[in-house]
Amino acid sequence: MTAVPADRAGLDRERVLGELIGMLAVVTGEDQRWAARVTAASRLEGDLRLESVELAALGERLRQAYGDSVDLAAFVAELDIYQIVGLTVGDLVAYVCASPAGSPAEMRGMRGMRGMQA
Amino acid sequence: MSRFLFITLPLTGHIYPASALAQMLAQDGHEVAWVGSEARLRPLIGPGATVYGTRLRPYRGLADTGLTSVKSLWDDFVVPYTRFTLPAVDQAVQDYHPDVLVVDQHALAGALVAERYGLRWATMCSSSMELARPFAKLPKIEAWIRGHLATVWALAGLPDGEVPDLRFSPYLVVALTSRALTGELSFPDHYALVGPALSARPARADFPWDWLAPDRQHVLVTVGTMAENNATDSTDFYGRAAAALAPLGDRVQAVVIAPPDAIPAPPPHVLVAPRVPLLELMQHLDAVVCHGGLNTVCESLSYGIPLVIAPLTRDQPINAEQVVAAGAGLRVSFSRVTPDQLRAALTTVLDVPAYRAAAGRVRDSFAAAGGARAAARRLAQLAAG
Repeated sequence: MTAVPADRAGLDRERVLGELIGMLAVVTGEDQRWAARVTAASRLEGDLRLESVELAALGERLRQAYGDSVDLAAFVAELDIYQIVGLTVGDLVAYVCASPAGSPAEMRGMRGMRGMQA
Repeated sequence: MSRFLFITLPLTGHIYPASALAQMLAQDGHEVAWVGSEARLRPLIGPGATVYGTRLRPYRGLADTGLTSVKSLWDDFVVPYTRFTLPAVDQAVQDYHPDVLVVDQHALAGALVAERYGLRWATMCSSSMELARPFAKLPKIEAWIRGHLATVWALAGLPDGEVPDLRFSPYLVVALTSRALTGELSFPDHYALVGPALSARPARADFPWDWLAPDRQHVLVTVGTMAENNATDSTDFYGRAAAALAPLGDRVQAVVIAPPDAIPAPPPHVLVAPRVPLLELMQHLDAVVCHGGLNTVCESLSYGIPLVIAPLTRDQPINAEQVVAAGAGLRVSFSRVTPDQLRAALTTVLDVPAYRAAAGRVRDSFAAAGGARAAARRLAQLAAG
């Protein structure tokens, strides 16, 4: 259970990808069959037809899961129109994993601490 | 009395409200002429109007959604259309000597020619696309649009320097919405939010009025005049709408504006027609299901009819949010809504009086805003000033 994987970053990415797809299914109201077809290469706009309200809901879930440093709206605000049109699930995974607060595992620890302080 | 030259887009939803303003100006004794595709304009503005014609070209990309639709709007429509119509608008101005150009927000040739000759011009916003400033939080998108404005500015041979925002006239912006919808957005004084500009339209369709049963509620399902650009998506939506309506035969009659084959063998309480006399029909309706184009939204609300909106593209998501914020309807996902969800949304706006009450408040705000009458007054002031 606690074995450290050889490629830790790779595992984190896989886990974030899985979690992100789960969140996408929730904010879109789609089912498992839909989620099973979503990959890192799926484009949010062209393939998943994510609407602005769904994107906003996804941003809120990402923040809850990975901390305040994961700010989807701020991330998107830095992109040009070609980047936004081409934005993929994998791009979001990379953004989450590269966010300054560190890996999701650490973020869970932080979230736990916040909970204890509250 | 003054001369007004209307520069519009070859789109029904833009021509009808412009025509309402033109009729009002003509009633007041002003002269009005048009620049645009005669084939598109003539059936909508009537045989007597003066038209400086342009040819009509097909444009790609009108079917796109999301930011892809913004990209195609500018790359594939606004810029090519501006380039294409610039000589015709210039010639019309030289021949007609207008006092004021009335320029559709995305018919930028009108703004460019007005600037070229130092003429006063008014912007007409018949969509919420720019008015709601959807890209306020996406600075690179806004900068990208400004880049396109600089492109057409240079194309028109206008002098180097800071390019004005050609989407918004510095003299007068006529917006076919009202504060009941725009909510907390604030606008400068030269923005006139006049509400929808409805007009008497040439009768284009018959309707079997006897079919409407007094003991049923009446629902209109329409995806608007942009539907032809989204044929595949729309067919799927019609199917789900038909399934949503199917069990409601004991309480609802529905009119679906669609080609007859969009819903094969509809049940007796569903009438499928490619055209209906929309404004006359509105007076009988209890709810409208639509994609949320500003015209359909405002026409419905001007009769106090609550909405279920499944926004697809362009300003439709913005309009849907505004209607939801006003309490006058519900938003559903165009691509994902199931028949059960659509039926639930529809019966909610039919059954919960708050939606109709809120739609009535928007109707009252439209009446106060003054519509085409108020717009014509502001245009006449601009010409006289």
